[in-house]
Amino acid sequence: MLLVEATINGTTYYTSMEGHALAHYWDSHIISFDPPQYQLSEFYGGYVRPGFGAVSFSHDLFASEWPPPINIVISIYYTATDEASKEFLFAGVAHLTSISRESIEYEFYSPSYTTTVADLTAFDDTLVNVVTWFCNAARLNLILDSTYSRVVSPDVKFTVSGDQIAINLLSEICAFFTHLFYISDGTLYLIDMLLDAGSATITEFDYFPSEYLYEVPVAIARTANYARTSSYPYGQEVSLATEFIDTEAKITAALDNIIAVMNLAKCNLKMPFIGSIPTPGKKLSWTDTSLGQDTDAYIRARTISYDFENEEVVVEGEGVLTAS
Amino acid sequence: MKLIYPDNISSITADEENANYLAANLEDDHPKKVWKGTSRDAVVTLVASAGGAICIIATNATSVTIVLSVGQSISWDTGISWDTGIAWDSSGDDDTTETTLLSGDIDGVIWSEFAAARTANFTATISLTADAGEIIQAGVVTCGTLRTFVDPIRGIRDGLRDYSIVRELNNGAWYIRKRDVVRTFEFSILEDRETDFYIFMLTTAKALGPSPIAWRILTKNITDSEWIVFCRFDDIMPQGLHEFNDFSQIDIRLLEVL
Repeated sequence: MLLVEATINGTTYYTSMEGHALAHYWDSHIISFDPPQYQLSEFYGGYVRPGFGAVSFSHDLFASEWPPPINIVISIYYTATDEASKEFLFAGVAHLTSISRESIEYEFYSPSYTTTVADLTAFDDTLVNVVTWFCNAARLNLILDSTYSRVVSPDVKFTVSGDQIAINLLSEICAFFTHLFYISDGTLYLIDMLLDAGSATITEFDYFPSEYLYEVPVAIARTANYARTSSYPYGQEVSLATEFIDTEAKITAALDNIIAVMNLAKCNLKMPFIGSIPTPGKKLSWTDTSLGQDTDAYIRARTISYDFENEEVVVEGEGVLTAS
Repeated sequence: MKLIYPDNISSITADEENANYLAANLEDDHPKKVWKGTSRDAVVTLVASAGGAICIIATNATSVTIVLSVGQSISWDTGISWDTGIAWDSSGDDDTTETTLLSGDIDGVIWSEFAAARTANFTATISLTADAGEIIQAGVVTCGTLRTFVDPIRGIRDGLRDYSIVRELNNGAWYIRKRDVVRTFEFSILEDRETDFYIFMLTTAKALGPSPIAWRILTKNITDSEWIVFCRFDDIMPQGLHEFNDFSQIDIRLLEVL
C-alpha cells in the first residue's frame, strides 16, 4: 500500500491511491503517480539519486485549501500490513504544474543539497573519514551509516580545483572507489559496490518475467595518467576526469574495480510489492527456470523504481548468471 | 424501487468518535472512509430539513434504534431569565417520535422509512450497537426525500467489478493483489411518462449526475437488504425509450462506490 503524507499549509493530509483504513484513513486522493526511483549516478558507483515524476491529486484534497498551494511537502511510505509498519521511501517537495477539470498535477522534487566545497580544499584520509567530513552538520548535515563500506577503506588524497557542489563531488569520489551512497530519512548510507548490503533469496513466486541485459563492455578505463584494459578490446572507453588518490598502485586498483563492476551482467528484476522493499546495495539471488536451462542468478540492487500503480518494483543491478 | 434524493442533512455528530475517523466522514459519500466510535455502541445525531427515509451504509451495527423528534421553539420575554439553579427539562421536548428497531444480520446496511414524510427541520437520533468486542463504525448516513418508482422489470443483471491486480509470475503462477470488488447492476424500469419518468430522469438523474446515492432496487416482493446499495450511475447515464403512448422504459446501469 502506497501511503503519502501531504503537508499543506501546516496541515497533514493522509492520502493513497485506493483508500486505506489504517490508524488514519489514507484517503484515495491520488489519481496517478509516476514511479519514483533511486538512480545510480554511474554504473560503477556514486550517488543513488532519487528521481521523481508527476503526481496527480483529486480536487477533493484541496477542498479546504483552495486554490492549491504552489508547493506542498510530501513523504512517501509503503506498507504491506498496517500503518505502524510503514517503510519510509522518499521525501521531497511537490511543485504545482497544472490545474485541470480532472486533477491537480504536481511535479515532485527531491531535497537539494546546495553546500559547496571551496577551491583548494585538500583531502588526505580514508574514504569513510572523507565521507564523514562531508556529512558534518556544517555541510550536508547527514548521519553516516558506513556498515557496508569497504572493510579497508580506500585512501583518498587530492585537492579540490575550483568551487564544487558538495553532493556532486562526493558522488565522484565514491564512484572512483566503486562505492555508492544513498540518502534516506536524514541518513547517508555508504556501500561498497563489491559487497552485499544485506541479501535475500527469492523464488519464482516472488518476481515477474524479467530481462537480463549485457551492456557494451568496457575495453579500457583511464585517468589522466594511467589506464587499465579488460579482456574485451572491442568495448568502450571509460574516462575519469579526476584521480582521487596519488599513487599508481591505488589508482590502477580503483580502475580494475570499475572495469570488474561494469563488465558484469545486468538484470531488470521486476518484483511485486511483497515484504520488505529492497534498498540499494542489497544482493538478491534466485533461480530462473524459464530460460533455456535452469539458471542461478544474483544482482546487487543499484537503480530501484517503484511503480505503485502496477504494484511493481523494478530492481536494476549487476550480477552473475550461472547454470544451476 | 426506491432511492433517497436529495440528501437534506444539515449537520451530523456522534457522541463518540475516533480522532482519525470523525463523524463528518458519514457525509462524504465514501463508504470506505468510515466514522468510528470508541466502543461497541454510540449515538449519531443528525439534523435534516426534510425527508422520508434514512439509509446507513457500511456499518457493523447489528442493532439500531432511530428516534425522530422536533424540538419546541421557545423565546423569553424581554427581561425574563433563568434563576440560578433552574434548568430546562427537555424530556418532554418531542412533538412526534418514530422508532425503528432492527437487529440481526443486516448486511451492513440500514434502511428506515418514516411513517410520514417530514417537511420541516427534525432531529434523528440513531443509536447503533455492534457485536461485543467490536468498535462501532459506519460509512455513510443519508437522510432525505424518499422517491418511489416501480420495481425493475425481469432480467436484472447483478455483477461485480474487480479492481485487483493480477499478473503472471516467472514460473507461470499468478501474483494476485486483492483490492476492492464492487457490485454492478443493469436493469430497466417501465414508468408512466407523466410524473414518474420525468421525476426520475430530470428531477433525480439530471440533477444528481455522477454522485452516489442510496438505492433500494427491489421493494415490492423482495425486501432483502442485499438490494440496498450505495451506487452511482455507471459511465452511461440513464437512457429513456418512448415506445408507448403513456409509458417509457428507462435503462439504468449502477456501480457501487467505495
